[in-house]
Amino acid sequence: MFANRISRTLHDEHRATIALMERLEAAISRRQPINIADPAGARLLADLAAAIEADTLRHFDFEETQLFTMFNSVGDQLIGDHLTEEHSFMRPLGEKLIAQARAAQADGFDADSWREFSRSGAELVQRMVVHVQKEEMALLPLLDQTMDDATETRLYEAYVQASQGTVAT
Amino acid sequence: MIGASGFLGSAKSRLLPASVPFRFFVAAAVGHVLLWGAVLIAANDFPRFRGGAGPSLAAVHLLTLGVLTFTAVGAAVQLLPVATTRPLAAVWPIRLASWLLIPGAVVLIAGMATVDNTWMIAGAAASTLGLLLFAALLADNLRRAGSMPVVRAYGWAAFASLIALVALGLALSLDERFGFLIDHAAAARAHMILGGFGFMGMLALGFSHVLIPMLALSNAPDQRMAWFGFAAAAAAVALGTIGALRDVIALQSAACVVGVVAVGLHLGLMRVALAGGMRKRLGLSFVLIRFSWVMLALTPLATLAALQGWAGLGGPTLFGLMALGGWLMTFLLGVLQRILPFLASMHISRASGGPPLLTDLGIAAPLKIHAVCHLIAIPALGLAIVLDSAQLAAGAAVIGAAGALAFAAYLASILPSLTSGRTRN
Repeated sequence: MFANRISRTLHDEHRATIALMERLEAAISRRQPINIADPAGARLLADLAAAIEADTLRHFDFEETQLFTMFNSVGDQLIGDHLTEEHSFMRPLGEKLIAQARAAQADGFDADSWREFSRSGAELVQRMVVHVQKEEMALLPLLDQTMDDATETRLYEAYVQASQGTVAT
Repeated sequence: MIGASGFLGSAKSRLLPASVPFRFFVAAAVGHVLLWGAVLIAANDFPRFRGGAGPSLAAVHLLTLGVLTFTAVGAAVQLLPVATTRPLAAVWPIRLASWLLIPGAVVLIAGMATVDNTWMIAGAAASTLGLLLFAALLADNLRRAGSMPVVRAYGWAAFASLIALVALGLALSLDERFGFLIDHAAAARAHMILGGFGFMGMLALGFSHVLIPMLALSNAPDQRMAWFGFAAAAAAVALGTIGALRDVIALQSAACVVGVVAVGLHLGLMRVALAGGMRKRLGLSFVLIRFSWVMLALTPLATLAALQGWAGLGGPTLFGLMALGGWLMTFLLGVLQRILPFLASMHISRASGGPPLLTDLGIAAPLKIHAVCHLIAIPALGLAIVLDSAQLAAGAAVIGAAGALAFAAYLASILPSLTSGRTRN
């Protein structure tokens, strides 16, 4: 397990994200539109919209504004550039899925909206799994190896404040 | 997990040209189809195969050299540099190795099928040179790798086994003409153990410590248990090889007992990796991988039964099928269907923009057909061996060939994007 709090926290967020992506993947693979009268379906749509908005996009912002800039400052720019590029493809996809999930919460799915939701969802699941794989294999171990105590404390405070919405990251 | 500074940012610099690993994968897919064809031709003899040149020996080498070795070489030359963060010293040696190994294997296997000593010796010599070049690249990469000590230990054990394996293989082919070996059968048994368990087995076990946690998104296996597992596996291979060479049943039986410990530790570590992994929906590839683990668990028990004469006349053949077809081939095909699109994606951009999705690469339906056929063919062939039934062996071969063709179709569906550098969508 990771030694520093930033790595552990991001790892926990990855775990929650993958669990959510697997729920989404399971729903899409059933090939039947999610029924909003079904409590499990309604909960998935609510969790999806809330988690992407409150957790995933904040997670991306925190990495880009705090972690990757730290790596840049020590001359290790490649990893941040690579992961930022992946964020740039997932961010609009996540935003689209939030809108689709919220619309479905209100009106349910028809054939067209389900097809669009399935397409966006399947793409986000694929991209997210590969992205998390890379962060778990490379980013978090790198954070563990390179971060000193003072930086860890500073970044962890920034993370807590960002997650409480008191500071825009 | 793989701790590697700059792992991602510089990963592309460690990519080989796609044609290098994929030529081995294409050759393995062709070998896979031919393997089942050879089993069909050899159906009368296969259930009681005990060695000696002919179609059955050709079928065995289509499996070991044509499927297992080609897959392992293609995967190792690309994945090892990525995992160790050390690029290959140069690309030309592996290209040259492919030009020696692939045609050499064709000539060797054709010589076995037609019982032609000259072809066998020529093919064995070329294959040996190709494998030695690969071994040199493997050793150089392992020597420079700074992390993953357990995986490196497995790699070194595979390297040592490969050297002994090719030396014995060349000696066996020459012995067919010159008759200088004191005990040809003992050398053939040692050759099989070094190939199946030493070279391929050690690579499969070692790479599992990287690949399974990567696919399941879990932590690296416990290092202390992993070292115990490595020690037990290496000891089992050493005992089995010496026991086979000296024809000492007690030593070979001891290898099986130690092998049970090695398998238990390995499967325990893999179970923990899957249980602790973030990813629970692991898909079709893990149906094959789990089946291969069942076969791995049964292998030392089947070997012991064959050694003690408890498994009937087909015992030795059944042990070979279980280890080489049930465990290694199933495991490699399961892994291969995951790494083919992954490796291809690193060479391709998406026609509609952005990094390609793995589902843009290759058509998934043939993989389902392959899995169903494979999971019928292997047990059916096992049953054919137990019942000494040529008809059942032929039926298994037909089903296996259908699956192999489906797998080849999947690989073929990836190649157009790979050659054009763009996805269809």
